[in-house]
Amino acid sequence: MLATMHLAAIDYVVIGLYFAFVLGVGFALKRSTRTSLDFFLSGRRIPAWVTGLAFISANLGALEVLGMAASGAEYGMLTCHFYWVGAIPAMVFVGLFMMPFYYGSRARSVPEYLRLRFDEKTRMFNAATFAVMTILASGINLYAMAIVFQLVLGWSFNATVLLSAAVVLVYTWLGGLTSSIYNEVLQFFLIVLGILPLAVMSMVEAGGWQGLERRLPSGYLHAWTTLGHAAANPMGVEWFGVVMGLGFVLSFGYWCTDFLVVQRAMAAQDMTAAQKTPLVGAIPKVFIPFLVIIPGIAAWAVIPHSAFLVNGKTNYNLALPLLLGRYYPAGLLGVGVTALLASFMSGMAGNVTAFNTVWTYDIYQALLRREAPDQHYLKMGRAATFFGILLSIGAAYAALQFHNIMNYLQLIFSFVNAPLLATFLLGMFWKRATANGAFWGLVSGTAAAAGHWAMTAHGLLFHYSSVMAANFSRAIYAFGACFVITVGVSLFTTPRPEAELVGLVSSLTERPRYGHLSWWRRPVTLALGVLALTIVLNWIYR
Amino acid sequence: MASPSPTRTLDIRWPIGLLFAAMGVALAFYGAAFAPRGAVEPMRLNLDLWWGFVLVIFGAAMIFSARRADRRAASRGGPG
Repeated sequence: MLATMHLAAIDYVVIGLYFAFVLGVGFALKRSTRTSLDFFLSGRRIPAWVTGLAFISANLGALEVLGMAASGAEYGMLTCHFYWVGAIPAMVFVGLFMMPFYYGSRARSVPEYLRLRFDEKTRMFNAATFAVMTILASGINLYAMAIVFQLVLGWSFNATVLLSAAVVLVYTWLGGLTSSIYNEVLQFFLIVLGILPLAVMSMVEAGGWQGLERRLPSGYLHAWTTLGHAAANPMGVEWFGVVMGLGFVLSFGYWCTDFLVVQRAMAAQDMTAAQKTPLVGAIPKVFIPFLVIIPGIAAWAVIPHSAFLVNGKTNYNLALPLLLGRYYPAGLLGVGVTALLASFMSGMAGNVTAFNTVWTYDIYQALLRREAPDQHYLKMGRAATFFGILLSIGAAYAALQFHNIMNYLQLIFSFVNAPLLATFLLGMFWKRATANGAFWGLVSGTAAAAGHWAMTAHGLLFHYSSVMAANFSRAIYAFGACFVITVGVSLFTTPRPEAELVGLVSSLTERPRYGHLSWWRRPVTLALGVLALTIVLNWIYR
Repeated sequence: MASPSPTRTLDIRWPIGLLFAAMGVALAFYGAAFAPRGAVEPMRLNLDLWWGFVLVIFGAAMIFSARRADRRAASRGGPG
């Protein structure tokens, strides 16, 4: 059972320094946030290394850090598939093949690209579902932060929710997307430098890799050799589900279409920086498993399993807090806690900035006030930040009432992102795809996901060995339904003239040329390097 | 569509560098003064002291890199 940790004065000094800098950054950025483009897209002037780190940090929230350490403890090296299969290939694909259309079309958001490529109703469908999803995700972040700090440090739930929401409100209100991106980069370094000593010490105590092999069951330290059959591994999945469900549909659906991450690339200073954004992010992403998953595995190897028990049940989410309490003295504990605090808050800020952009550009401007001075949209963006945070607080308290809301959030992701991937692939790479095809494809894909979920929940037709296997499968069905219906309806409806699709569809758009850059600075070189590294790691830990 | 504001944006390396340098100094001083210990010490190190130094070095590298970028921008005479 986890004993509540007590912070010393030095820990509060470290946390106080972080809060002071975060607010200071917000105030410093207010001067350069004068137009709606500054507020929503950072004036499109952020360099690739900053947008690249923000691209992965938007996803590296504390939920991910705690969750991946927990999965490491529970499933072992199989968890690495969420990175080496479930992220890197998709990040390379979006950088090389999709970014030219996102950035080149000058769309200000992912739903706006859908309007340019298809029509208003397809954009609105995506904007509405995305807005709901971001508020829920933001609220869940807030809820999880307050619960974790209540459990680990004994902090008050209400005080944690209100204080952190207030800080996020101040800095996103002042600096918009730039504030959010800067805090994501700050959080990235805090996570790396706050957790690295813990990762090293857990491996030293475990006796290195050989020590882990001695202490843990065979198969626990392999990523591929147990994937021949679902019953052969604790995750209950087999290789087809991992490659197609996770590696293709869920992963590409998230990294290639989710505006939360794509927005970071849209803020880049030019097309090269936009294409490099996911590729630069992929480099540290390859190594994140060594920072979070392997310490989780080591925690399971060195800490008595009774320490993971909560009310008689094993709670793997305690892996990282247990390691923090085990190794960190006062002072370093403050750095570790600040890293978690920062990643919860930037996870919330990322969702709020994506929400305020989609609300202002894709809902408010499209439906309520089409022509207004730029300053009006800037004010609306700030107002959206305010009510987005209020709604997030509401969602955090709703989560307190419904303890399984996390499952519903995962469900919504699979409803929204999986079919959207088919819409984007057909929209960008098949000029024959029509607006009605895209809209009815999206509706059908979402309905297929809902139908699959309902049948699985009631034990009809579909039976899976684990929730994870059901998620992978649902994503494949939703993608397939959207793909087939979009193609079918498109073939019976009239496509737009080709002249209107230049810059939006692959076959009608000139590829960016990088002849002026030396070979090692070109996006394709970076992409090949990252892919080679990923293949090598998959082979080593097979 | 609105144009971006012409004002130069704060270089992110400044706040990162200053924050980590400040955290590192606080940690190193605390480590040197009190030598606090973790519950389990697989490496038998004064962690606060040594990791404080690492944070200071990282912070200083960020500040150095930001200053160099500022100087380069100033010598070009542009907003950088």
